[in-house]
Amino acid sequence: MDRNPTPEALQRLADEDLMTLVERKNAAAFEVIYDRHGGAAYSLAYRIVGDSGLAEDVTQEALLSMWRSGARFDSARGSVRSWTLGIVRNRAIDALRRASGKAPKLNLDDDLVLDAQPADELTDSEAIRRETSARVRGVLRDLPDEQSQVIGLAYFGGFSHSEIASMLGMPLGTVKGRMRLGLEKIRVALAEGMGVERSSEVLP
Amino acid sequence: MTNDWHADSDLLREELAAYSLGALPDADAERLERHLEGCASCRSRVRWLEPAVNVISGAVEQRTPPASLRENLMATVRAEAAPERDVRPAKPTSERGSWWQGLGGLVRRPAVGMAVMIVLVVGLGAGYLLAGGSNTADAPTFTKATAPPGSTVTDVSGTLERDGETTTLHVQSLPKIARDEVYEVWVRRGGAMEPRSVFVLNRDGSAEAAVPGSLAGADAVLVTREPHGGSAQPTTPAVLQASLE
Repeated sequence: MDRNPTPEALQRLADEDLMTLVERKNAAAFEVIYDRHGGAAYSLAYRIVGDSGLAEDVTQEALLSMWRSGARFDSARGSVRSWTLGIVRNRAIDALRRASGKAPKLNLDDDLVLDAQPADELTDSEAIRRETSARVRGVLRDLPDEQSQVIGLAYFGGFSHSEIASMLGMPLGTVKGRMRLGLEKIRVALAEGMGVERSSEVLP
Repeated sequence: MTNDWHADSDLLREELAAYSLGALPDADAERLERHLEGCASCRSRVRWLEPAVNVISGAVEQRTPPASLRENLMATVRAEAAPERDVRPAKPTSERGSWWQGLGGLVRRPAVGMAVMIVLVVGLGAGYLLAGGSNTADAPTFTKATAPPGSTVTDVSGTLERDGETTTLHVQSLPKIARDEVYEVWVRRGGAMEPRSVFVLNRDGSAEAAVPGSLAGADAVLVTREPHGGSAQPTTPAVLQASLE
């Protein structure tokens, strides 16, 4: 690969190829990554910390850590987008804990999963996502409340399954089961919505 | 370590779903990650769940980030970027020429320095991937970095790690700086200050900075506070110093 592709060439590269350039400290490649995923990253951070200034700090911190440790991205372990959002999510949860003195604020009405909105991004995968976004929103809306609740508390609230079990006063096994059922339901609905499954997406 | 949960398909699926949602307590998550390293079917299960997690993370209300986010982020990224033209590892005698592109005194970090830093970050952040590494050769040496004599800023600490040709400054604590400032790493040799790299602090006041190039004949590694992009010569007194020999 050319070490210094033109901006137009960069725009055409897949995320994984851009990350190869980011590992070599190519700022223009990182800029494209930001333009593709920065909005979703900031939105997720805002959703978790609930404050625009803190969300900005969290997003900047998370993206800088990606820039500085680009070599840690491993395409065998997931997409650039999921890697990005995973880092942002963890940083945001850390910030939330610091801001509220260790324990995140309890918000049992945290059925954020139900406020589904399509991400407004421009990559191919996003185009596919937009096509299926109505269906996805339907899936999230149709998720039973008890599954949506534990998923929201875990992903956006940063609570572990045992913390959720104790705050909801239910057995740990129930919480674990609801998480699994809810997540698998979303996944299966997504697969059905996407039509023919790629072989790699067959349930292991 | 027991793998009982692995024998039970439902328990396994619950464990992997909780992991994917970030709902495992730290110790359980670490245990599972060790397991994932050696278990292709669990890895493939986690990957299968990934789009579902993406749906959740992408389903939040989408907001437009403030312009300052992009500006600040890209300013730091550009300051830390490799030179425009790919710079191969420089021989010590030609180091200075290769680091300076004459762009208004902007400090550019040599590619070799960043490669070193990336390796270190990988080593620190993903140690479990590297278990059983074969690095039995020269052990790294560590030099304490402290406030220089006479410095008014005393709440500072750091460690200079030298591992063969690789030198890294681990900063544990330095004062916060403004967004249009950076910290700059210098090597003092024969009374002259040689610029080596720039860095900014993590949120907790820590940082890692590559110190590229040879330290032969140098008597100290120092850190100063500089305007964004770094300076050709220090413009403020050093706040951190690691004395060599």
